[in-house]
Amino acid sequence: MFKNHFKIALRNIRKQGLRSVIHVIGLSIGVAVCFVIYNLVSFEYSFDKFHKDSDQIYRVTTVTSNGVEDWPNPGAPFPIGPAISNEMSAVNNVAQIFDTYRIMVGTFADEQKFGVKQTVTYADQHYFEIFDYKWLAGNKESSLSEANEVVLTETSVKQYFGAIEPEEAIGKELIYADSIPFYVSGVVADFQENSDLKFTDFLSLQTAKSNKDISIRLNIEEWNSVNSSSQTIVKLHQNQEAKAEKELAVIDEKYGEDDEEWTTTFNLEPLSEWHFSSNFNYRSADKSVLNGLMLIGLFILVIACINFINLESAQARLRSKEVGIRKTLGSSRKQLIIQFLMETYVIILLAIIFGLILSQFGIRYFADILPNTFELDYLSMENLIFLLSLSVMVLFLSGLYPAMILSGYTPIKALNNKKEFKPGFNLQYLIRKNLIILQFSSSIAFIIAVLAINNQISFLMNKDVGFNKEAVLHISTPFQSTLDNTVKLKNNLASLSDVKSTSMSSGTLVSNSIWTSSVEHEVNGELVEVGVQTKVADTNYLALYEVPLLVGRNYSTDESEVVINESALTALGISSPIDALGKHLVYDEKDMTVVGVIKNVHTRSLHEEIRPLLVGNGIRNLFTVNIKLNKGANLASAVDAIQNAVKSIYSVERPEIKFLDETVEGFYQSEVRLRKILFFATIMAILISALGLFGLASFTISQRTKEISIRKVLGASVAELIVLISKEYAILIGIAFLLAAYPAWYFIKDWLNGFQYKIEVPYGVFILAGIIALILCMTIVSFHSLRAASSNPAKILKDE
Amino acid sequence: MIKLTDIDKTISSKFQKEFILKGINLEIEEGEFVTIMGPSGAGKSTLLNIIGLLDDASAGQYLLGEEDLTSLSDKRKAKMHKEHFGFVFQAYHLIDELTVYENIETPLLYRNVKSSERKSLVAEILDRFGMVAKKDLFPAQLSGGQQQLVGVARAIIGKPSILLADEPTGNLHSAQSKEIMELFQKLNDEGTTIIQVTHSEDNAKYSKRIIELEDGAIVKDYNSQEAQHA
Ligand SMILES: Nc1ncnc2c1ncn2[C@@H]1O[C@H](COP(=O)(O)OP(=O)(O)OP(=O)(O)O)[C@@H](O)[C@H]1O
Ligand SMILES: [Mg+2]
Repeated sequence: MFKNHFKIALRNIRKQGLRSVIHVIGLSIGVAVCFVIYNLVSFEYSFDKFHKDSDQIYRVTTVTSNGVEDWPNPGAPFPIGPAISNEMSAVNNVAQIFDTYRIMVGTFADEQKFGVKQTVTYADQHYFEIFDYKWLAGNKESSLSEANEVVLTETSVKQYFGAIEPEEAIGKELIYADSIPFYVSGVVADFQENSDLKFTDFLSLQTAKSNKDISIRLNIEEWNSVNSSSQTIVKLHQNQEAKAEKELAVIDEKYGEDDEEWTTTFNLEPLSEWHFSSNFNYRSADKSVLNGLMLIGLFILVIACINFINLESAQARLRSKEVGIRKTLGSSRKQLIIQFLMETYVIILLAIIFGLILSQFGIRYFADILPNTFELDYLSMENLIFLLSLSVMVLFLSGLYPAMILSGYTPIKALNNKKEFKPGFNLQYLIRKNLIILQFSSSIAFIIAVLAINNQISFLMNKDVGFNKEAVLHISTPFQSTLDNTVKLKNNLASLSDVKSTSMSSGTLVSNSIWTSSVEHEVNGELVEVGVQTKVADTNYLALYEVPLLVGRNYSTDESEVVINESALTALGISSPIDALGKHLVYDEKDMTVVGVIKNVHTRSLHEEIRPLLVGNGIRNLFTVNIKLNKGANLASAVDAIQNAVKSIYSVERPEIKFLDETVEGFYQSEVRLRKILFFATIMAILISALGLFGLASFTISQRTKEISIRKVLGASVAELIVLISKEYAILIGIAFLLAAYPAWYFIKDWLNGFQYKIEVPYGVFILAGIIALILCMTIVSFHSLRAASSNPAKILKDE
Repeated sequence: MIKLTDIDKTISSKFQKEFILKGINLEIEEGEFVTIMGPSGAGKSTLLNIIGLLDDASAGQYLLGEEDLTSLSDKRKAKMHKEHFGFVFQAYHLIDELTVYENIETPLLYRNVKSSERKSLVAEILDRFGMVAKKDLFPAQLSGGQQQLVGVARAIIGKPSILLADEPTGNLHSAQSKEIMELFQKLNDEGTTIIQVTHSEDNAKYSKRIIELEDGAIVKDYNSQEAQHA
């Protein structure tokens, strides 16, 4: 039986080539999209799942709030560690780490031998009690208990000492941060599984506690210092989460240094969430993106299944005879359903094979937005199970309805198949039309969304930011750079022929990071606090960026002079810029005088409103060198020259040279990424829908050739016939458009709300999307109707 | 064996009820070879379809042996098709996508016959019908007569107790018709009950009993051999 069905399936696939190709292409696209998305989602959710008791591991996070804005931080004040271990009975173990982010590693002979490493952390021995590492030398009880001990992973051992046995590494000396000696006290295996705990060198936290210089930097004593580097990890007793939260609230109450303005709240964040909030890998995943992707995958799959349903149910009559015969031979309806489902399954299996090939192309197209350790393991157990479940789901989604129709034919009607064709209401016909409408409304909605997003992105890229960001480059000096080096770099760069001017500052004028402070000013004899964005820079800064000055003058090297922007006027309650000149402000307990007011320029991404800004001269925090090139300077040679200048000052860690306009474009990375994903989804949706329509129109129009021939004999022109046939499809597109418009409008409106500066909902784009869909549909339909309308009626009617 | 009592078949359109069969009373014994004749539109095919459970009567009772077949579920119908009926159609109705061999084998698949037994049964019947050389051809590659031979082979391979044939030779020329009719005679001699519909007097001669239908009613029911003598 099985063999018999299988043979028929293969023969039908071959016989009805167009149908098979349409089905396999459509479904394989659906399969590929779902397969890649499934793998991406399960990849993102796989991080740090493998630890023993991983559901009992949490970290303490801190939210600082001024009642208006919340500042979440994955770190917690250092003293909370001892407090938790003394006062929280729900906690089984507490570990503390201090991520060094970037630290120089070397040997006694050459302190910079291994350069800067980003995978070094201070940790106490409890870290190894909470996270189970495999010990190759040393042990978790004692390896980090003393000062100046370091535990290395195998990769670090190999990097520092070459191929030696783990035991031989014990006792070897390394120098961190140019000066502090550490002795290897243990070697652990690297994690093989996906993990955000990327550390390779664990320095004993005891070192920091006993070394005054470091302990100050770590703020070991301070309850009011929160640093994302300094994290407190706890392992709870089983099922103690609720209790732990209560106990933590008590600690919060007892030690949290709240004042009238700022409140601090501690929270427990489960290990499974770290990957999606903030982690040591610099790349956190976004759950809403993953959810959106899953939705897109489902849409594409459903659109592909609709093709199958439509074409198969339309063509069902072609197979009614076989159904009739099989019934007279003793087949039950159930057996027929099984047969047709099996045939569908053969097509699905082909689609899966092609789908897997397509998914390889897919991940290449998306290489730039996929996590770089992501790869497809086609034959993993998990994937095989996924493909199996997907295929069964597609089988029922697409195969069941046609199989029900087919198997429902009564034998005599099926055998005399002309009698089946009743005029009047036809439910199947109606269902098919609705499904086409559904497909095309998804396509139209996708088109609208992509075009609208595209409009907003080009608005973002081209909006006048109020200053000149062309031909500006910037360099962030290395972590350990001295002010002397930065000044030297700035001066060397200024002397280059392609460079017009240079400036040192706390950051570029427009930037992703923000430094906010508060200033006080006098209102009716009382000091009132106002939050402002702050920038410190040398006096070239505003001129370099060509920021327009409204009144007054630029600040001088006198550190008591500041320039503010228009928003700051409002915040300070000053109505006219002129009135601001000479205004006294208190900043950091020092007196400041406003000497100039600049126009509002965008110093943040256009998601945000322009904040009150304060710019002044200073020598603190000058981490950035800004460079303006001469007009018409040759970019390549200018960058080369700058590179050489940088190289001569920073030999070990070489900072990157960035173009400001690229940096600004980087602010809109997630929008560009969204556009890329939606563009892809749109093309797929259109492609599948168009294929389906092609197949369906080809079939239904060929069914009407007799009618067309008679009309032709009666005097209809080819053009009239095409209009006659196409009209019905144009109506479908019209309905699809109406159905698509509202959801698309809602999505765009909601999305645009994420921007302070945005385009109006672009209604023109709606029209454009409708026209695109209509043209596409008409092209396909006319292709078939032209063929039908121009065939020779004499021949057709004779054949009938 | 077959007992039809007061069988009606009506079709109702908006305003009226039209009788296709009206008050059919008919008994057919096991082993009979019956021919149904009558003008076009008389209801012959309809009657045959009702007997073969391809169509339902609108009224009346249908007994097969002891069993009441008056209104059956699809599942029971499929079971009866497997156990009792074989069909031969004027248009052959072979499955185009299957070869001769596979077409003949199909009824056995629905009867869950084991693979080895299937092979020998199909081989036997191919041999008997002289179609061994054609077994891998598709229906479209055969002449009408050959297709009908396959149709008959397929109808009888499941050893049905009743063979129903609706104008089995309608599309064939006389030599081919003769071949099919002789085959029917032989099957009847071996014990198969046969009911055929035909317009051909020549074909009718092979059967012992002729039923004449007109406007949905039986007008004559006689023994053909006796009639010839009379
Ligand atoms: N499904 C149906 N709907 C409407 N009328 C039908 C249907 N089936 C049969 N009829 C009508 O019933 C009558 C009997 O049909 P049937 O096919 O039984 O005739 P027949 O005796 O086999 O004729 P023929 O010799 O032409 O095959 C005909 O008038 C036919 O038009
Ligand atoms: Mg008939």
